[in-house]
Amino acid sequence: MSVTFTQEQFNVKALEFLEMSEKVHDTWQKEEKENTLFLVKNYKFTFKKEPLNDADDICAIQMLSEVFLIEYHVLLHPSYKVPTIYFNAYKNDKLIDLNDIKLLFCDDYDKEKYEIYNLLSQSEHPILFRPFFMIHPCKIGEVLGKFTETRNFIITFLTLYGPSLVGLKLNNEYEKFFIKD
Amino acid sequence: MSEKKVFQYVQFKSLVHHDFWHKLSDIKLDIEKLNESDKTIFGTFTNLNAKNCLLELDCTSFNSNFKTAKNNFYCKGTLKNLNTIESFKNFNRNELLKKEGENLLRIIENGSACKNPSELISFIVLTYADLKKYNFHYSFAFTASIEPLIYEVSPSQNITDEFSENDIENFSSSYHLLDQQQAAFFIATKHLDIILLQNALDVNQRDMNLKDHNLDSTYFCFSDPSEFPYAAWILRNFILLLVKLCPILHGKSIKILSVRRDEKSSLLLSKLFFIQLPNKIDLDPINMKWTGWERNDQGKLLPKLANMSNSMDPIKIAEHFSMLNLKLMKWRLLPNLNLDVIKKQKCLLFGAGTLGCAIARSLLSWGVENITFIDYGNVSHSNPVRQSLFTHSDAMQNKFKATAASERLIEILPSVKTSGHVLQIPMPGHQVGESMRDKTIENIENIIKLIQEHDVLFLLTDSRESRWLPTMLGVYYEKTVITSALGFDSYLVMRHGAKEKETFQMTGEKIEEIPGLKCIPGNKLGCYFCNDVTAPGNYYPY
Repeated sequence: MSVTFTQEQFNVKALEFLEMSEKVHDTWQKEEKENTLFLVKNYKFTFKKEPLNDADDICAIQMLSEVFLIEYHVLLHPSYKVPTIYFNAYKNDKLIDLNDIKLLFCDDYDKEKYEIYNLLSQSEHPILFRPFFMIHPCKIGEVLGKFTETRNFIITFLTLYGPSLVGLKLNNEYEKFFIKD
Repeated sequence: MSEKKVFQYVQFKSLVHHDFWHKLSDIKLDIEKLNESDKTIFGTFTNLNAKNCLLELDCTSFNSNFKTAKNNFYCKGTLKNLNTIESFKNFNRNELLKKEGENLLRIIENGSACKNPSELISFIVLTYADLKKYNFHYSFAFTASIEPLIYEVSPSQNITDEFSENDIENFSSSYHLLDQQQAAFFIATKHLDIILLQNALDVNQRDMNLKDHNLDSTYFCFSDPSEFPYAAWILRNFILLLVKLCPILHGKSIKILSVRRDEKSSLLLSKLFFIQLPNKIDLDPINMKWTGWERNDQGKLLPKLANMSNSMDPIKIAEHFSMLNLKLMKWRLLPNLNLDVIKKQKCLLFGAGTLGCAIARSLLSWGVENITFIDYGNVSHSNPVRQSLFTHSDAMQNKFKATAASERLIEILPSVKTSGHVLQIPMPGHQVGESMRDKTIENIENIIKLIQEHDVLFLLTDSRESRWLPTMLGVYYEKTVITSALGFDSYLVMRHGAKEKETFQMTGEKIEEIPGLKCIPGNKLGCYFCNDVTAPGNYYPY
């Protein structure tokens, strides 16, 4: 059975998720526009670190490196009414395009993994109106329909889609909110 | 004795989020316009699961009442947005840096740095926004004084080497209760009890500062955004403050605690550095040298460039998204589809009528970038309902179809390269009078020139004979030719045959045999005319 959610349901669960996030020192933030709430997290990692000395200033080390930044937005898709992930990825100050996204999320050039393009798309962010990549929401309702007993459908969604598809990992400590007394 | 090792700091790396540039261009267009005066902005850094040694700017950097996320620290910076690339290139960067440096000295001297230690971190962003090309040129500087030079006494250690678990745990809970501004720099004693700078140091009685402290169990702490073995740049300014305000430390060895948190916010990643301050320190403001301009990603002292056209330029966005559908189709359904080949084909359409309009739109949707029309007619009132590139107003103005169609393509997709040529195609059986002779020769020359410039010819005119000349020229210049014709109850689409040498040299691949499908190789195809039984002639009179 496929499920859908209202913006009000999403807002309540998003706030609950934020509270948990804070408790486990995760860095999710809240953004809000006209009663539409969405969750934001920036994830960074560094590549190729090469220290460089400065001839004019012997105390200075410049680290030649590539910084990757992925901004994840979790929001309720305005027409599908299911949570989905919008994201953009940057290398230093450059936006990474859809062709290179696979290099970011697929460890090896595994052909089969290119199937992520069956699920990823790019479209305008429904709240910010800027181009973002997104997990296409067409099957999300169906998948979440199998987990109707969850306490927080946003967490269920994130654990199902985040790690395998777009490198978004939830720290194990979130478990502790789900263990029954 | 071995030579003393200079203690090194790792410089901040600026990370500017794209929404910063969106905001900057909004502010420039709507508020600041040509105003070049300094603007205060905010940057953030964190020591929680720190990556690299980053100072980040985003759209909130412009907020006047800046609030940062719970685990982040913020610092104030100066933004100078210049109006021309020349003023950006020639700007006296050292003077600006010196000004910031002097300001840093002032806040150390007057005690405001002790009250609000995060003010010790300051930065400069020099920008030039080329809003036509959506290019943002920028240089960052993280203000620091070259002096004092300090030395490493012994290799760094982990926090657990010096302190008990219990001490660290207590320290962690009081550290997490600290105000963000105070947590940037502070002092800790033997069991890691925290003393705020404002309580430890008095700018008016410098000789007394830290007099009662046993330096062996005094830890100068800072929240360290570096993930590297080196201490972050910001420690430089803390050292400067210490030598300014605590003469007692000159020549002494001191312990630095670099507070670093892992993703669970535990402080176990924290490091201890053991350094020695010099004996004689020249701190005369006149002699002080300031440093901190950031190098680009290649390690050169040059500005960085953020090109934002992909997310700001509406024309680029349209181009990008129209290609996106094709890419998704390729990825999902036809992995062997070579979109680039299609995209690069330059298409010449003979006829901008029902077929010409429809094919031009199809070509657009397949990502073709070059579309040229040849047509001699004007938009008539019967056209707009069938010919999808025209409107009623085109008919009212009696526009040429070729030019109207190409103008409309640009309205649909501004990045398309298109033109319309109002040309009559000479036809067999249609006599050319003496008065039209020169004009006709000129037309032929123009048609030849256009055919040479294109890769694919589409024959979409409303008569048989007008396809004759382009067919012949298409064979002669070895172009791909596609004929399409539409009748009330019939239609025809065919590709003209190509010469043998071309077909096989170009592909070199064997044609795959599909059972039940009869496939005629391209070199064995005829053209529109050799597949017909009558020769072209003037059929208008009948």
